Amino acid sequence: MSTSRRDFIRANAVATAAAAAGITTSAAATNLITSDTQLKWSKAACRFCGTGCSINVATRDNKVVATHGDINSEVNRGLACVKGYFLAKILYGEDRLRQPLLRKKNGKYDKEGEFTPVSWDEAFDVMEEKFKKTLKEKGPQGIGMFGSGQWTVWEGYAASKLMKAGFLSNNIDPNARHCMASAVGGFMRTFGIDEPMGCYDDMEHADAFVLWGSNMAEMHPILWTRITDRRLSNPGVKVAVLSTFEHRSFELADMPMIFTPQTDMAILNYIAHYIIREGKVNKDFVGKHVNFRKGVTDIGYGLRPEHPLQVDAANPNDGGSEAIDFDEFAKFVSTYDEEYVSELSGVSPERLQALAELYADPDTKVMSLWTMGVNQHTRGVWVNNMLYNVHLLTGKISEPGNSPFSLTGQPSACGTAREVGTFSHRLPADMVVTNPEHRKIAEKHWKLPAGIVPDWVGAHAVQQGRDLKDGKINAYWVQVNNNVQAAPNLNEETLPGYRNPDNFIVVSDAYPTVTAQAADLILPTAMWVEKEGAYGNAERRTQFWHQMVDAPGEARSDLWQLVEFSKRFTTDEVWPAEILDANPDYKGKTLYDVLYRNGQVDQYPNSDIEEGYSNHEAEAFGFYLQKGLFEEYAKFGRGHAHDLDDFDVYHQVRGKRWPVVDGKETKWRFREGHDPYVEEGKGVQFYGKPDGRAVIFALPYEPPAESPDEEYDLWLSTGRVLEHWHSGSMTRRVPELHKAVPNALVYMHPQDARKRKLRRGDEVRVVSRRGEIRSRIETRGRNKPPEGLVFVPWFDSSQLINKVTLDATDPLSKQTDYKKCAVKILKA
Amino acid sequence: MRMTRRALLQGDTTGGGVHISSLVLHCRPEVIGAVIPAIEALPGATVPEHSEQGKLVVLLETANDGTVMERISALEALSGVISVALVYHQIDVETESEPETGSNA
Repeated sequence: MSTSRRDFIRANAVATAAAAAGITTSAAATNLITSDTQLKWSKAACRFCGTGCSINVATRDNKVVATHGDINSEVNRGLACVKGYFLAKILYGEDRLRQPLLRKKNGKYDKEGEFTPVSWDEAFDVMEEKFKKTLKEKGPQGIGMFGSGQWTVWEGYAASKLMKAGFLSNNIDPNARHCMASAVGGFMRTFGIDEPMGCYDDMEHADAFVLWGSNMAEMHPILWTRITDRRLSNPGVKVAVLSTFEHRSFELADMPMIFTPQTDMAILNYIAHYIIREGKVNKDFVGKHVNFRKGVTDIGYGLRPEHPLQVDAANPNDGGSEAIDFDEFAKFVSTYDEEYVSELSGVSPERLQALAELYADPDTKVMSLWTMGVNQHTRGVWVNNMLYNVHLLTGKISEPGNSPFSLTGQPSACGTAREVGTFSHRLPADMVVTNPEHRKIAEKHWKLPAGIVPDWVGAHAVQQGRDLKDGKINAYWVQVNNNVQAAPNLNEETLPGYRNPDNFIVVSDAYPTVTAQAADLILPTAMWVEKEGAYGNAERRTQFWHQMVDAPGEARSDLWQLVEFSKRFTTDEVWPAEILDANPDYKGKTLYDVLYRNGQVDQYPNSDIEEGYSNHEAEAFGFYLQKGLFEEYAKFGRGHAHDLDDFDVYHQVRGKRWPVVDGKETKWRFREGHDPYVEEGKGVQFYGKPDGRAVIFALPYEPPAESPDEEYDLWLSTGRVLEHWHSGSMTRRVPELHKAVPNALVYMHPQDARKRKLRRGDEVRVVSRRGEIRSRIETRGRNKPPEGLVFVPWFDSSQLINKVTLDATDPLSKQTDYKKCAVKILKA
Repeated sequence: MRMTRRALLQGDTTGGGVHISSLVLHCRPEVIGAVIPAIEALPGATVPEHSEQGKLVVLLETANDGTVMERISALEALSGVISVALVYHQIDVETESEPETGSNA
């Protein structure tokens, strides 16, 4: 019996993998462990990147014991990367936080005190006192919140509502500012509506894939598997990989290209020029669906206003533009010829031509893919615009296989940070706080008095750091992110604000991260399947999961923390008297009453919760909080091209891509026959813009904020590795992943090492004008930089590379450029 | 739970049971001939299925999941390998079932 049992397991393992790979076998496949009847299997979206794989999660005795790729998922089709495979273990690190911890001395809160376990009541008492004191002294501008693209949809919504409609402060921003703000800026500027028009299905239709700075092999491994499958199954398919250094994705590259940092802008203008010069413009498409504009130039580098680079800029932070025509655009890009761009970028003229031809050839369907290389860029919005330029000139957009595709780094940067509107300038469904009509709509949906939502743009991520240091923000709450490790130039601009004696810093986290340790109060947080959740991935797919296990100790979800804390404030304390006088019904109410017990959020009973699943928040507040928040939020998008399906549907399906109209998802937006919002007979309609036309922008190459010189003679680029996700606060607690890649390394060209008399494994100092770290040299690893550039990943809390980076941001998106600054490497 | 004979032979002495897992591996088609023997040279790794296009099914039998991670790292480092993804994993905690040990049902 046992022999056949083991054989059966082997056969099942092989059949399942063969099915996932599309290799024909006769055996029926399932990758669920079926022989153990004590396991309960449920679906969840993966906790890590923006791909949004669906994962089958097995629980037993209130513990997650196994995870597998979900064979019923359209995204990952049964596959999982190593991080997804070890997901179960992220919940069970030895140092998981179980109790609130407050810095105390002599039994009282003291900023210089030791972390001491306290009750939730004591934690909230101190926090309430600090927030009330700041609100009284400085008003709403004195408080701030830093959230996340890892918040669930309802957590981001509840937080945004608490800050913007409760405390009347727009000083709330997500860490998605560090990863997706330039993508958002690009979408809004070109199309007037956020998020990709295409979807992952494009990967099975494209004839060519062009990676702009992205290392999908390590950062989006499951999508890379789909592209690999397409390439290997269709020998005519071409893969072009552009990067400032060689990495694992080059294994599949038919057209590998290493370019000098920042010159992606020149290469894109060259492609536009080539398309025009070779007569490959899709004139019909351009005539019907496109406008041309010329952008304001010399816009600075998003540094402090007194920084010399800001002072020197002619038009700092100016996102303006003027209308031009096709001929003016053609003339504008005509200087970007092979000779000039090859010289600037280091890519040969032949390679540039071959790349441009992929876009120009009307018979080649092209998918462009990018993430942080483009977005973490002092001209990130521009580069996004320029990528759309080449797709719009040729009409290669919004149809299967023709797809400019902005990939996402966090699991819900789209679903939460962007769609919910947790940025300091945004409201749900792409609306903004500076537009009075938009504020009116928000006030109506929220059943709040007119004029309550503030009209000022709050502090963005990097600005919050500066404002904390300068003492402008004094009460600050951080959830689901590790910004003391993630923020640029952290020794000069981030950490000082946390330790500023005037400030009170609260950090909600599951683990004692660098950020938590820099805080004054740590709140222990329930994570992933310890709560009911929803994420939205990079292809507009909204996915739900149930609470499957209890959080350890007294850990509570961010949602519970936000809503419970709102009970401690009354409208009389935090709203202007004139609004309350004009709306006396709101007097004397708690923020909990007006934001969450408003007859909408609290309208669904706990009996609506699917049988067999617990829900701590519903039990605590007495109503199905997640459903109420979701349905209220969904009102913003329904009928406005952001339609979501009914709440209950998402618990049954493996996600749906919005807009979901009459229960039907949308794979390709702006294209008649695919997108119900396109008017009949239009064919293509970019309805985010009033005239239905997308914009091609004339924008020049401009140099980076800092380049290598005689003393600081190397480029530094930072990023991730396959085994670790972001700051490593979860993956470094999985022993297998930690063992595989225990520490960050300095990836360097062997010639650069030789010149500095360094050998592989040597300990070195990585030094910039701002700070330094110690690390070790790797000359033979998975990343192979060209001479003149080093790559250092940022997951390692023992080597905080962001002490070294520069806090230059895109002046339009306010997103940091983590890919370019100047360093020197010295033997330690 | 006692150590399986196979685990002992393979030098894995850390856990009970056998971890049976399968992976989908993509490699450049021209290197299949070199990649398959390189994979099968790894302890507990076999390639029961493959296509000429460069898609391989890799079956791993290891004593613990830490070893699964080690094997994946080794596979990713092979020249010509483009992607590795996990599909299936089951821990068979029943006692030794190798045919040569006889039935213990």
